[in-house]
Amino acid sequence: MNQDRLRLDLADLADEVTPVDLRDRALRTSRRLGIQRAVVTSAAALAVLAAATGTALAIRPDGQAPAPAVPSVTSTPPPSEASPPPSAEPSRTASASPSTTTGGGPASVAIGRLFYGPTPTGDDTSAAGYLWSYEPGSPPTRLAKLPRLAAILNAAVSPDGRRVAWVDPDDNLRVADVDGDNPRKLTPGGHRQVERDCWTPVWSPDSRRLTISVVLRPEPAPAWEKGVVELNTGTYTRLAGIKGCHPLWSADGTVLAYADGEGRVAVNRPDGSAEKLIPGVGGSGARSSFDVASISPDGSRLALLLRKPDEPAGDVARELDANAVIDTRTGRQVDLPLGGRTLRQAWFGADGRLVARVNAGDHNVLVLIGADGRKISESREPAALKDLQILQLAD
Amino acid sequence: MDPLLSEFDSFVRTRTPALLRSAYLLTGDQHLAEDLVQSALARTHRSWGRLHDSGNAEAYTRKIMYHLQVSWWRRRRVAEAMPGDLPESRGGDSGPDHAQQITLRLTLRAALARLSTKQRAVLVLRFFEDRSEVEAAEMLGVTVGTVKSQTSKALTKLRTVAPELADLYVTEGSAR
Repeated sequence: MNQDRLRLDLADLADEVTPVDLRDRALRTSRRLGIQRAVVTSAAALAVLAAATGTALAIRPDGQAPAPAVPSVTSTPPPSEASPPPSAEPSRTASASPSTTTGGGPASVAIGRLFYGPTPTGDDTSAAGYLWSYEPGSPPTRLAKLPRLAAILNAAVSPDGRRVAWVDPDDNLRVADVDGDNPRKLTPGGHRQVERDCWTPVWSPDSRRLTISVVLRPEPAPAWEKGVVELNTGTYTRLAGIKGCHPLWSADGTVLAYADGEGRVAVNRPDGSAEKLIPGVGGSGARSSFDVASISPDGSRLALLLRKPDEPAGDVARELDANAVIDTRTGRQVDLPLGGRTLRQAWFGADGRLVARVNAGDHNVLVLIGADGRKISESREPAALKDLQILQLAD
Repeated sequence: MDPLLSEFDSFVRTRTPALLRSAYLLTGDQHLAEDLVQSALARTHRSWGRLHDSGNAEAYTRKIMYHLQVSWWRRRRVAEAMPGDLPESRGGDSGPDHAQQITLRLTLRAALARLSTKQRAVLVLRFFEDRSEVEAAEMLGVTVGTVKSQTSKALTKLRTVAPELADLYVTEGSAR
């Protein structure tokens, strides 16, 4: 190949780009990075953090990022790691907190205990991201107070519903009881920082281990390594051969599923030794997916967000919305008995049941579907939970 | 205005066009290129206190940019959809040479979209920015051997996915 010609043609191709002024956008992103760093040192910063949903959420290929409601910033202080935190009155009340008196349909104990957290688009502008639990027949319960960004991006409740893991704004891995008691900071394999956007913490089915991605080297030349840490002993095992984001671990312990970031979805053994791509998702297919939400106990079905070719792909931040359940062997979509209603989220229980969350105007409805695919019952979700997202369906 | 901010403004406004050109070749998309440069500039801004008088601000920004592009979850669906996405005409010459150049550009753009992010990065570093193998390795945080092998793979893949491009280059090259 004539490399001089290649040089000329690359230069010609580069002429296609339209110059734009990125000054204000760069400063806004910089400010969000600063807020994330400042938040651990000042409670005053928390109210601002609630408005700025974080860098990862702000970077979208279509340029239509949810514009963070950073309070009227017209100039940015000189950059410094020691920048004073933005002044703002901390919000002490969770303004959009689900009311314990709202909603409540017919009790359906079979659905089980659901855990909820904030969404990037929720109306809640309070500083913290609270974890909630809800079981049909009982009012929602407010649990641990987490950094809002962590609650949105990476908080994960253990399958037994006892503990929550998250990555704080300083990239530290933390674990606590779901009510916030007994907080611990973990350093898997001696690494102080873990990844918080892509390979986010995920619990093993026995709720004793977490798969995480440790930061081997920070910016400007970052490097990560995936691994599994045992909570009781601290034992850390490196995971090789896996490239992807947003892992799910099947209840029988045999399957890890994850999005590969190119629109495909893979299923693999937990040791990374047998990766298979799900047919018909990504590649030249008409559907792609960058966000997987829940996996059936044996890894045969997956709840995920499928996108058509003309849909913006979003960014690395996790999305737990699901618009389909597919068979992981064939890629075929599984019919759900939803009566034509739009699926918002879908969570598998350890026994194979599926809780489908569908839109019903000012509230959502939880549809309980058996492992055989038949509808068992429905339950009206309290309207106060409408703007939260389900993070886990506990055993 | 704060002198540091004023310096940063000046840096952004003078260097953004060049950064965007590289970012466009890396991503194949205007919006992705803007996102990439914006993210890199934001990190440069965070470190401006120590960068501003070092003379290394652009190198730092480019390094961040390449790492974000190669390491991040960069969703390539937009880029992969590009082959059917005709560029807007810039007007001017519309003769046969211009039409041929447009076709060539389309083909090259589509072919680049088929490369991995790392292969694309080494091609841009080596043949657009004219970096040496050592410089490219330093920029990407990999060995020179990796740069060599990725460059070779990238050129082979270009030939494979766009044989007409390779034919054209070879024909024109041999005629010189």
